[in-house]
Amino acid sequence: MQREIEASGIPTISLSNNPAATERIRAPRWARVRFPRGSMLGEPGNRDKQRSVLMDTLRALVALDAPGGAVELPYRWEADPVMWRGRPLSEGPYS
Amino acid sequence: MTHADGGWIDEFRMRYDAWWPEARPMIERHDYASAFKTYPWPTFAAAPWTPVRKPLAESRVGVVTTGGLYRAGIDAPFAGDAPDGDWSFRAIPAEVPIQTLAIAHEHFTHEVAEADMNTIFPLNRLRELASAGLIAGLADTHWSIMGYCPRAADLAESAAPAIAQGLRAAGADVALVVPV
Repeated sequence: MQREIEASGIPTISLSNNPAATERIRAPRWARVRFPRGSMLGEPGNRDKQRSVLMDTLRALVALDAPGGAVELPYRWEADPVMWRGRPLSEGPYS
Repeated sequence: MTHADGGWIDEFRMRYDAWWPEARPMIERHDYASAFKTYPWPTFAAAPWTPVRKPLAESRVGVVTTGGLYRAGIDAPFAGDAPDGDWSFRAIPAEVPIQTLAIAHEHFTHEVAEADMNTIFPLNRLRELASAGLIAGLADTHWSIMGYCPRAADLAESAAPAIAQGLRAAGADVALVVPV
């Protein structure tokens, strides 16, 4: 999806909590977040943090200057783990 | 519809057709780990690239979420639990209050997004960035797909080019993709 949008002429960036998967598809630009599946901008209701994640990501969209470029955002999950099929997730889709 | 990034599709389709008969029973008993061990992940030699042409403060942002969001009562839900996924897409006009959106996607826990849709579809936060002058605004329309979609070729041939074209028509200068 991201590749097609970029190839059609719109610069893109994605959020990723799964670097292996994002590298595999060679996303044009991406920002790594350490948040659980289904919570890609941080905790619910944490507006300041969500805005920071967004703004850092959009700044990376402008700053990254080569295909496949990525930044690692410094934020961590600051709430109870999210349960998924009996497993606690706090930093990624499976962990 | 023509697509700009389709060189991988024919080979993927052949490998997918070989994978699916063996994977299907595993997926139907929710053994995704075993099924996807042999999934024919598309491979690419390089990333596509479009240079950024404007400062952020002059750019309108379009959002694509894979959270399976849709307008309840207006659009059909996605086939959230179909073994071979759903490769359709939904347009979501910028003025729709995001807390009224419904989720049809059985492959993640909904409680965080239901408490605050900005966690997977951050239109309210983008509006705040626009009010602060950090971006020019939001695109007129944003887009949702359902992130469980092993039929990657179908998604690439239908939803992806339609969304790319839709983003341009909606005035997006840049796009943010939020996978779920």
